[in-house]
Amino acid sequence: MLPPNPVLLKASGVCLRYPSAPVHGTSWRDEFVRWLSPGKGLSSRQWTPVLSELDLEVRRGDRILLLGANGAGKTTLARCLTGMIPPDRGLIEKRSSTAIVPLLGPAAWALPELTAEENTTFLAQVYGLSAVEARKAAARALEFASVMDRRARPIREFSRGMQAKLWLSLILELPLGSDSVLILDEVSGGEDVRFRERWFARLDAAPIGALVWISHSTELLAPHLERGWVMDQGRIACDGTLAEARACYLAGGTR
Amino acid sequence: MSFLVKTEGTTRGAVPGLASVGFMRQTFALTSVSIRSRFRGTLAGAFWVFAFPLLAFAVQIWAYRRVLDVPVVDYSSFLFSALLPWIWISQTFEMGIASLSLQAPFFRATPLHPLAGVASSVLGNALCSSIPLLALTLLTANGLQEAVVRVVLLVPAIALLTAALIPLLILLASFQIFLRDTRFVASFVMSLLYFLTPIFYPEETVPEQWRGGLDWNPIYRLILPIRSAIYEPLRGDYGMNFAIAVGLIIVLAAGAFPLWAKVRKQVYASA
Repeated sequence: MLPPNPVLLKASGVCLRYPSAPVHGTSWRDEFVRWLSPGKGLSSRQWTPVLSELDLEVRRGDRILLLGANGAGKTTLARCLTGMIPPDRGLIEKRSSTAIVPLLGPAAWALPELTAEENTTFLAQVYGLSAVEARKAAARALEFASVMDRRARPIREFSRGMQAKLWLSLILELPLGSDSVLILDEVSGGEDVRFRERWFARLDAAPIGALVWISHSTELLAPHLERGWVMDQGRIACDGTLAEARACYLAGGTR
Repeated sequence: MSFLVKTEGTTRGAVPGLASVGFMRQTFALTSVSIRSRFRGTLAGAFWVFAFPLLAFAVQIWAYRRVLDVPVVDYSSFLFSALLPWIWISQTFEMGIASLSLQAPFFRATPLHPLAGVASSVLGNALCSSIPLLALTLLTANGLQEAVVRVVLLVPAIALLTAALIPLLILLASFQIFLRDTRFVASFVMSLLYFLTPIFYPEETVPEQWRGGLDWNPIYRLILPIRSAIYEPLRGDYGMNFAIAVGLIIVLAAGAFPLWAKVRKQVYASA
């Protein structure tokens, strides 16, 4: 029997709460009015638990689909795993050679008034590439997304599908190593079928360590992923094959 | 199996993520593209950015010297040495306070550190503001010796104001996350403070019983090192003004970074 593949990323006992209403949407004026209103005082924070004693392991070679109802905490988990938000309690560990590479959500650009080339180059720099490497990666991504002839146009003029193609193309131009963990969260958004087939062929061949994909499109992703997690009540409620995870999710997220 | 601890709970009081690899690189890259966007990629766009504070100075020097006849020696140096830093601070607030909210869709999706947006607002404005400031400093100097002294004192003062604006903008941008009118309140407060700060009138014209209030005007305290570098640089109060501004930066940083640590989750709270 072969030894199990090495663990690249591990979470133990992770807990996280988010601050919620009435903090959102208040203003200095609202606070001033509340302060002067008898018996009300300043608005206080309320907290919503999102992750609760969550444990998981991602091993080299894993291709995982993360399922869960809206609001189950999938995106929050992704942000926690990438280090964007530190957990309130618990531990997230990664192998020292592991790079966590997140792309969480549909295409968004730092400066939409700048050109496609400038925005894509900057995006590559955000992932840690030098200016020269970023320009090269952006050029390859523009080529792969078939938008090279529009590289000097402002990205805000691009259709949603074209933006998605560029967004997805760049992520595979990054130097992802065999210990990297790619985390994608509902990244598709209107890209055409021909592009999608070419892109998935590249993804399948990419030398990445592991892939965690948050999506509701199980049919689309089934040929490219092998394992499934279901999030419920702030933790991984099911961990199994894709078919098992899907059945678990449809049954309400219980094991 | 060797593991590197990535993130652990109980980060209260720390500055989570600020020291992450690539923060400075992200900040410089964002500053570079932001400036390109501001200049619209043209010389005319750059001219517009640099000309704006100079035009404001030209109008005010005419109004205060010709119309109000403010009795100050070398009034042009006196005025621009505080007016240009004031415009710099106002523009930094205007462009940077909402940066955490405006860039949220981008940094929620990618590894861009949210504070890189704040820091790049400060650096971009520092670059765009210090060029006309240095130009006027050299143009209005009386001879080479004064020009050299002014520049030697001015460069650290510019660095100091840049350093001060980072925690100040982190504070205001953090408030903007949950108090959505912070940008407008700050703009209103700045317009009031303009008249309560000795920018176009000398400190000595403020009645003596109220003059102590100027010590509590943080914007004035941050502007003073620049003014004392340009206006009468040999008067000897540069060192004291510099030291007070350094103390103010420490106080601002002590407030800004813990507040950021508290609101960091709020930045990511919306989907």
